[in-house]
Amino acid sequence: MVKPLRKWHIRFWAILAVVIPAGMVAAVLARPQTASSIVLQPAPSIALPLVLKTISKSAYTASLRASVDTAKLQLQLVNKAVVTSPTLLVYQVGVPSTAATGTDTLLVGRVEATGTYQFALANVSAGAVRVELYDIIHHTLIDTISFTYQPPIKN
Amino acid sequence: MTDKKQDEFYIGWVGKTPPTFAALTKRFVLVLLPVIILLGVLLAVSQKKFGTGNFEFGTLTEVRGIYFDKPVPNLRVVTGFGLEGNNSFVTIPLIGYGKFGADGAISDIEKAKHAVLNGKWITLKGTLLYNDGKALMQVDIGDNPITNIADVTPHPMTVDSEQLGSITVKGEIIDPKCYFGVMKPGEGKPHEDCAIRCILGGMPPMLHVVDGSGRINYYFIVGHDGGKINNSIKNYIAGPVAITGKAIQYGDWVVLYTDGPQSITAISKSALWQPKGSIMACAAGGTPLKTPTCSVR
Amino acid sequence: MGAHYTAVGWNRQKKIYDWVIFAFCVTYLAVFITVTAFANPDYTFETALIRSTSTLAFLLLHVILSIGPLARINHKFLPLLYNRRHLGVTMFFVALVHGGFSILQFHALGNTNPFLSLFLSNTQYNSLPGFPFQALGFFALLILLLMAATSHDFWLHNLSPKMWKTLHMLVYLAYLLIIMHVMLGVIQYETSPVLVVLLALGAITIISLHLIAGMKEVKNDQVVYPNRKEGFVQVCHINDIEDSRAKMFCIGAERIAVFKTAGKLFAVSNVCKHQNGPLGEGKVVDGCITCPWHGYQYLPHNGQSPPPFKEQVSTYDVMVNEGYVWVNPIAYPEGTERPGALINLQVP
Repeated sequence: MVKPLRKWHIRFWAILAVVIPAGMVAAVLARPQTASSIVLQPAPSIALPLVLKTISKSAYTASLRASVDTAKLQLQLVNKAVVTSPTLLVYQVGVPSTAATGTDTLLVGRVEATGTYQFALANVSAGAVRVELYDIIHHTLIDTISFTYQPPIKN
Repeated sequence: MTDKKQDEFYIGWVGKTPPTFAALTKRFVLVLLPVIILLGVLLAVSQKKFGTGNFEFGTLTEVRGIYFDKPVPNLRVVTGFGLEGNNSFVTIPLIGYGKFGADGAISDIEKAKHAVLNGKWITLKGTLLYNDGKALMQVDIGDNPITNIADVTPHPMTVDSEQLGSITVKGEIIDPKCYFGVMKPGEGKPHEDCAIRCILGGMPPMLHVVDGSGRINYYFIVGHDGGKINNSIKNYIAGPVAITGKAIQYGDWVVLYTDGPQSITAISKSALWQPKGSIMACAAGGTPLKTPTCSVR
Repeated sequence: MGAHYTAVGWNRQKKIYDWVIFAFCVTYLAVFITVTAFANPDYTFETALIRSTSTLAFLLLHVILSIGPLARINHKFLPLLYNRRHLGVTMFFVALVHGGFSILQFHALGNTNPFLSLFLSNTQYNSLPGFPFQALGFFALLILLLMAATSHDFWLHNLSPKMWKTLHMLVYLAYLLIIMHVMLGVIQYETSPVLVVLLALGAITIISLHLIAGMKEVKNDQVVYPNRKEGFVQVCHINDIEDSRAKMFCIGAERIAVFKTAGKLFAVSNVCKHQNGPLGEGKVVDGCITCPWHGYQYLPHNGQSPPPFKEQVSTYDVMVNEGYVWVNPIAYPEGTERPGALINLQVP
């Protein structure tokens, strides 16, 4: 290199030796904090006291819960994995068909984010409740949960 | 006497490299190889976790539902009857091809079909994108998206809504198309330009709100009368912001009615580098549903 | 255009050099993309490509920027310097994949021309955290394009070595732009400290190497030669110069290289006509002064390249007095024949 370029070379690096660390420190200090808020949650429903049956899988834990007199049934679904289908709807099948519905399938709820969901179920013939996890967009049955249980003996 | 090794001289155009030069070059390359591999591993594993969104690129899906153009273009798909015999539905917001909202495509369909789609049963063909149990659909006029239009007589459905009141929430303004599956990351600074281009192209802006434990809310952001505010919020996209507005829940989505940029404040650590009109630092995770108490520059 | 150029001969060394670059690039890309895919099953190939090419280009830039000072600190690194431009052109193409794909990904299919969108989407030029970092990357890529496009001796001859060298020193500006492109871009998003730490280590290494090498040069240039007589300046003892080698002396405007060969001393300009390489760090091979950078050759007595080459450097008068070497710093026109100075072998 010729002398002027040699001079410019070292001047350039002396400037960079100041500017680069300064720029890096400023950029690190400027990093935004994650803005977080308390999120809106669905209206909480209270878990019924009796647990009649629990089925655990890697994606979820499903429990069939009931009121003390077993008149009310409830599905508690702890969703542990991110939903990877467009929708994840929970249907109870094998319920008595009514004039209003005209079907034996009842929509009991929808799962979106991970977390705990409680859905009221129709009380059907004692000892067997069948629930289907279904994607309405792809028309795909994702999973079936069958609870067979011994109903508590009523006094 | 001159040391023979010291006297070695390298000439690039001569085929052979002197031994001491060749040895150092080899050593340099051999040291660099594990360094490169190590750096590749280190840089790859240090990346923030990729989002779980899915974009069904190249796959068209037909969905039947009732089309509504407010608060954002959407398709309501009836999912069945609930315990009390009521109708339930899933709302699929619609977005356009590329970095555009769905309005253009819907308007083109309406012109082509000589029909107004709002409130009609339609069968729509498009590309799905989904994340976290929520789905959106890309409508592209090139896909011949409408296969059926019918009046809503069998199942009249009202747009029920729930007033959630006036709230202030902190989060990041995203474009839903990229966030829900087209790009990873679909949020944050690296994606900022794309989010701006999408929102300026008519994509409905969305506020992504996360709490300390990772639970997420999504709010569509519109003007106080439900109109678009896309062009006026450009400087607030992809950074942390606090937005005040009236929240209304329409089934499975929440819409935030705001006064546009006046309702938005940028949140930053330092006041020194902030553009005018933004606020100084607020503690993360502050009280929700309340205007921030930070000082305004 | 007056300059002539011929195709570069791809000798064995060049082939090995290029294969090593290729193998390194493929290895790095494979490692990054594979580990990303395993660590993140939800990854997208587009993002993996954008990130792998960006980090690879930046790694290559670190290697490129290290070679110059390393070769000045230790001449044994010169084989890396000889084909450095291959590394530079490779780096540009890798960076082009990153930049091109990013523009496509983030700006195409919108309501504005992608290149306009690059500057018009985010316009927060007055905010540090909000600064449009992509513009910084774009200008860095433009510099790399300019360098890659002129990375041939055709341009070196047409632009003149000084102009070409000045143009190629823009790579330092590109380095700064890229650092800030990363710092104001992905660093504002990622939470892991790995990238910041690696960037800092890289910058410390590169800056230190350049400052160490630069200080060495400054030290050379600042030597004062107090003994002067009739236009001649006493520079060293004749035993300070090894046979077939030279010593460099900065007297006045530019460095002069004094070579000892065939029982004589010859003084020529230290600046090679090719890329302004330091002739004084070269060697007399087959009777010709040979530049250590790219092997350009000059005859010691007249500073002319042996035919058919036409490069010429200035020559100077040199004499030996009582075992000491004296140089007259007034240059003769390039290619002027000078007798040199006979060395009296019975020096005290």
